Amino acid sequence: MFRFKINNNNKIHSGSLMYYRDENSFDFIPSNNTDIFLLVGYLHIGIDSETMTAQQVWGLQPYECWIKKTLDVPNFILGELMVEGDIVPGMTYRIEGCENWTTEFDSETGWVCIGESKKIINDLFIKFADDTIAVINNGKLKALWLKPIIK
Amino acid sequence: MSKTVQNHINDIVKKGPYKGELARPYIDSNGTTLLIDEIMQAGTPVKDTVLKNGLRWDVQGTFRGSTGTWELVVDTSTNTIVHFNFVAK
Repeated sequence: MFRFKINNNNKIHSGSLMYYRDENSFDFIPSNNTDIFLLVGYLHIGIDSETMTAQQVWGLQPYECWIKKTLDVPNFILGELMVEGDIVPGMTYRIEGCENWTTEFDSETGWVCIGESKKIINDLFIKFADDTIAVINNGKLKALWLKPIIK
Repeated sequence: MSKTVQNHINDIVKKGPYKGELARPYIDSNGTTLLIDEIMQAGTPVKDTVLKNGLRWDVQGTFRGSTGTWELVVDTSTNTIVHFNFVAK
């Protein structure tokens, strides 16, 4: 349904990725305007329809279900995460295949991995916003790596 | 609603047939309370799979000409809406 592409141009969105324990939610400050939302569970990947680029992630992600694990943080490139597909601005869609994704948390480093934390040879790691990395494999989202400021 | 949900109330559609409209107008409009009531009346909530004190409603519906699901999650420990969205098929 959707395909993700990477634009390796060193552009990333500046800001702070927050995690609010009292709301069990991630949010990105300051928030950029987005008008397409792709859901991973309850987590929104906000897309700007003019550029079709991901701006930030936000939404419910209860820490009660995080699994403590030592995570090997991936090397990444900086750039834009782009999406293409049959998408109407002003709508929300669910990314298929992520219904049973687990969330792992490394309390030593503060990194949270939503999805598959094991790397394979064709994985592409793109940092598209501060403290926000997407893992793309063959056009599909495989995981999100997030390092929030936890409040 | 949670502060996180409220932080994204003012997002505007920038392109296409709904250009200029709020991206998710159902979050904060005159009809929001009625819509939430209708979702709650239309379906039986289930215990949320990830939020310990969460109740979730999934109700089939339409929005902007698309069919899909109204998703509503309430944290019963704070009586707060923590997820509210229309997810298109």
